[in-house]
Amino acid sequence: MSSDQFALRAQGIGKQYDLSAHTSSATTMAEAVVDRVRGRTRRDPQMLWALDDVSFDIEAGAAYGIIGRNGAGKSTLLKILSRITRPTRGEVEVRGRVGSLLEVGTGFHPELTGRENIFLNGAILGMRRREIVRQFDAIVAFAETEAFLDVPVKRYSSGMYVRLAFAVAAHLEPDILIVDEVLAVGDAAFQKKCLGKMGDVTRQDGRTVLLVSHNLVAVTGLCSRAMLLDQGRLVSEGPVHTVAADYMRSLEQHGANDLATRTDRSGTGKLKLTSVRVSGPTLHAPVQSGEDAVISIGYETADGKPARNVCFSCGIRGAFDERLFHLSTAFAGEDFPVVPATGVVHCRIARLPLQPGSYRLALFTMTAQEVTDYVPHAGGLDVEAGDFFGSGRLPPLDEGQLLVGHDWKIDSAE
Amino acid sequence: MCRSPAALAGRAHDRPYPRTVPPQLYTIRPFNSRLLPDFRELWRYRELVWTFAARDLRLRYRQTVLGVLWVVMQPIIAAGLFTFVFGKIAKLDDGDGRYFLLAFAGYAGFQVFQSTLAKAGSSLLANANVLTKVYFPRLVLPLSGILSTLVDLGIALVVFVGTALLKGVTIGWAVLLFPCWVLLALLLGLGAGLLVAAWSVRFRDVQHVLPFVMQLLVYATPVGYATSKVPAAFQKYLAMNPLTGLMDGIRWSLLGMHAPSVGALVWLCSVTLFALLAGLVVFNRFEQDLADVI
Repeated sequence: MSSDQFALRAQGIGKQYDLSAHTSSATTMAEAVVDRVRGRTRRDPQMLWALDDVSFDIEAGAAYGIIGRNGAGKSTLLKILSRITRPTRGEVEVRGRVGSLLEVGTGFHPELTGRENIFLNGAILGMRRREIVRQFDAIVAFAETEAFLDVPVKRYSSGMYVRLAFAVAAHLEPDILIVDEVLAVGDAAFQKKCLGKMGDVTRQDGRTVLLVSHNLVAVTGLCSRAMLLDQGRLVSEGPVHTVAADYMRSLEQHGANDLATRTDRSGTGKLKLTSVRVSGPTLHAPVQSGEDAVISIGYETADGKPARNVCFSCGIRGAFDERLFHLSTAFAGEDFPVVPATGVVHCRIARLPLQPGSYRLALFTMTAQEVTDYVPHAGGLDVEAGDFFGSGRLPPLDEGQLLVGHDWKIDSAE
Repeated sequence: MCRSPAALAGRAHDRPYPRTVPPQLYTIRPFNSRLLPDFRELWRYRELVWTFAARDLRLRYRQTVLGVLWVVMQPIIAAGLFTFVFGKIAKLDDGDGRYFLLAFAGYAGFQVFQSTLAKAGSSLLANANVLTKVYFPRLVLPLSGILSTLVDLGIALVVFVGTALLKGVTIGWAVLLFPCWVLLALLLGLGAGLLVAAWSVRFRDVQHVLPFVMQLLVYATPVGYATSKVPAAFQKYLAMNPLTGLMDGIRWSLLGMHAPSVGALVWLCSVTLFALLAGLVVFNRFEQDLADVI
């Protein structure tokens, strides 16, 4: 492959956000005028490079994966490549028409019928009308919603809605297709169908596909090459299996938080927490909604002797430090009458009831009614999308952070 | 890229467009150095303007049973009210039976300006969810509002012509220039609307202030009364409002009333051109950071 057959070529792109912009700058024109008159500047900028000096070439016709933890800069990169936002630095050369799929069913309107939404969504995603007309039957067949074509989509079941939205997206035929996490939700069989369709797109039509996903199975199955982003930087690039292995390794490193040298703590210090790491059901598995999660807490006693009546607790807190739930040996009925001088306690959460996102851990231990160590910001907990309900679907993120298993039944009125 | 001949043959007919044309090269850069939007790109997205416009029209008439009836009644009620307040109470009616038509023409013309402004002004916030998920020239959204404004105008014109025929008012050759007034109203409304659209994303109070400004503007513009009835002392203030020339032009075209002065026309066209350019420049500037701010 000669070097000029690239589809995307990025050189030193970076994106800086001002975290204080939302809170400290004028939000009404009246304020802006007052600020201007008084010659005051509200800004005390807090700059963050969401993406920092990232360069890469993606060859035409490749299926390429982008992996990384939450907040690694994947979404920012996708937004730049799909021209939703501009980079602060650097530039990207793009060869061909770009179609981006950052969300399933962008622009779908509940009052419009399935047929109307196909045309609307297709047009928003960049399809020409005649393309949609030509593909219309294929889209409808793919979505398996023929009978409901002229029904407003507000009457669709959520499964039908997602299938229809996927179907339009799957028939998008740009030179470069950019797909975000969207495949994470949707039922497994349909996910597979979509992945298959994307595979066809690259193999048979020579189009370029960029796939961002936490789902390593999907990425390694579809893509031949990948890049790994971490804290806005490109840390690894190459054949997909090498990059996936690097990702697993980085998860492991990130997982283990060293607490021994931390000073933001309180307590008597007779027993100190030394480390914390969170893993999925197995050591290298990601932490996912609905899968088991294990919190492993390392500790040591100050006098090097075994300790008695020790209680370990862990508070799970939201991004704004709101208390979500509390885990403790005191309630779970598992007392350790005597614990060794150094050790690791493991707390298993069955079917993790958390929505995808970032959470915080607060740890503390008590020995005989006195707090021996308290680390309020002991570490982070990144949860990835998973199949909590077994339906392949999760509630919208703005409907709260907790997931509760439940079932429904119906009785007739008489 | 290696592809099997079978795969090529099998998929060839599926191609949306022939691959003989090399794909276009585009460079994403930190700044857009353009002063004005990329109109060639906008032209490629013309179907999307139509699609959004069709969506808005469909939704408007689907959600309300009285959809079309409402569009018919609105100018009739407004013009009736103006006729009563200005014509009868303020006694501006000459008694030639045309006052209702005068008010109707004024209201319909003003609506073209005000509805274009309002739709363009709110188009970004109303479509925020789409704007952060997919790229297209942002100008598509404010432009797509024009269609339903024109549909409203079309319906109002049918009512107007019907009423004019009933009252025995003849429409002269000046009606041929009517599209020009509509175009000026659209462009002026669009220019102002683009400014409002950009500012309203940044500043929350813009959206609240706008209806109030429009309400004042209805009375500061000869919508419900004729320019000629305004006392001479106030004429110079009225002339500062570019919409005065527009109202006169519309009434000249539809009702054969006195034509706007050359000065008023020059003023109207200059303000329109300025508003449009300012709107396009500010909007184009703002478009770059839109997804980060909205």
